[in-house]
Parts: sequence; C-alpha cells; structure tokens
Amino acid sequence: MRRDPTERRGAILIVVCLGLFLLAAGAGLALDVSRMLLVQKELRSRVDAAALAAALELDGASDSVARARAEAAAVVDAERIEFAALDQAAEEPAWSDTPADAARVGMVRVTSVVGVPLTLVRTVVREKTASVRVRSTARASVESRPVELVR
Amino acid sequence: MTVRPGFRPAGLRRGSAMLEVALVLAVLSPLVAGGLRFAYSFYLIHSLQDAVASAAEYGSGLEYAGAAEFETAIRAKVAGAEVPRLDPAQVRVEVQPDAGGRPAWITVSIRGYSLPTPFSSTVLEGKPRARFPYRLRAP
Repeated sequence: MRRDPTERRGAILIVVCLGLFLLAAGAGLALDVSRMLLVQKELRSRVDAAALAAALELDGASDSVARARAEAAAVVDAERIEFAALDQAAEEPAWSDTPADAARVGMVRVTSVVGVPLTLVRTVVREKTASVRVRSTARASVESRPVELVR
Repeated sequence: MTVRPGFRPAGLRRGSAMLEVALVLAVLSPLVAGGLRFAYSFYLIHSLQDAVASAAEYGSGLEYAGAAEFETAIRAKVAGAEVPRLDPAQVRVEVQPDAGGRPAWITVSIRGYSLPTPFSSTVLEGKPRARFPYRLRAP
C-alpha cells in the first residue's frame, strides 16, 4: 500500500539525528577507551618501577618494609596506592600491609588505582570517571639473583 | 496534468541524488579521515609508550660497563621496537647515579617526535617517559 509522500515528510530528519547521535556516541566511546588504555599503560610502567624499587629495599632490616612502602609511594604518584608484603616463611603465607617479621618478607605487591575523567561518554552514561587499576608484584633479591618482577 | 502535492516529476528530480551524495561525502569524508588519523596517532603513542617502558625495564637489569655503552644499548632497544619515523637520536636516556657512580635510576623518554593528530601535529617533548630503578645495584 503506497503512502502519500506528504505523510513521509520529516522521516529523514529522525534517521539523520539518530545516525549522528550513534556516530558521536561511537566516537566518544573510542576516544575515552583509548585514553583509558593509555593511562593504564603509563600506570603499568610506574607500578612496575614502584614494585622493583620497593623490593630493592627489602634487605632484612626491621625498617625495610617501611622503607619499601615509602619508596613505592614516592614512585607512584597516584591518587591511591595499596602496598602489601608477603611473609614467605610463614606457615600460611599471606599478603599483609604490616608483616610481623620484616626479615622474612620476600615479595612486595603494589596496586594503584587512578580515575580517568570521561569526556564524551559522559553524555551517555552517568559516571564522570572510570577507574583504572594496575597491580605489580616483585621478588626481593635472593643470593645472587637480583630483584625481579613476578609476571 | 495534475500533480499531487509533494510529488515531483522524475525530470525535476534528476541530479538530486548526486547532490545528496556530494553533501553526505562532504560531511563523512573528513570524519573518516579524522578517525583514521586519530587511530594512527593512538597506535604511535602506544608503540612509543611500550618502547620506552620496555627499554627502561631492560636497562634496569643491564650490566653497567660505562655510560656510553649503557645508553647506546638502551637506545638500541627503543629503536628495536620499530616505531614508525622514530629516530634513535630522539630517544633520551638519563642515568641517575648512586654515590658509588653506578646507575640508581634509568629514565627513558622521547624528545622531538612529531605525532600526527586529527587536525594538525604535535611534537612530543619528554613524553612518553618511563623510569625504572637499577635492579643490579648493591643492597
């Protein structure tokens, strides 16, 4: 059944508006996701460096964990940093912020979370920032083996 | 001949499709070109970030046998990443020594690299940058 052409007027306007909206939303998503990936990559490098720097401080001294924590915080200039050390000689090794015996700590773990401001995606979703979380673990020097990242 | 309102004879519609296509292309082609350029710059900045981070990490575990050899080896590592149009001279390696003159921190960054952006280009000065502690230093 053919419709009167006058009844179809304005339909193209809706299609164009919808198309432009989808195009803008897609472009915004691509921009924001690419920015998040770049921030994640930069943060990965910093957190790896922080974990290595912290592991270099583990020399068995009583203040080594405190020094390691301070070193990690100095390297990662992030909004939030979580530091944990692993007492490997314990019966049940567990990550702890304050291990009982600093001399037995063999590994450190650094976690950082930063908020990436969203730009164009904000028009579609309510969140103003997206969280990027990166974690890195490093092993302390053992005998002739240097400190290293645990992948 | 009576013509219904809103209906134009075929003769009068000739060329209108071409005009519409031209208009749409005029809008879409810059968008597509900008998108491609953006994607390319995104690829370049990621490649550079990867290159400096892996080179700094490589340098952090490299035996130190003099500043010149050390920096050359790290620069070669960045060049090995084969980032398009990256000149090894644009790679800056800074070695922060400890009290004994051995490396304590290694910083790798890019200087003077022209990065294409959707509307122009921007020159990277000191970015991307990666800084790693020297892992072989004495405890």
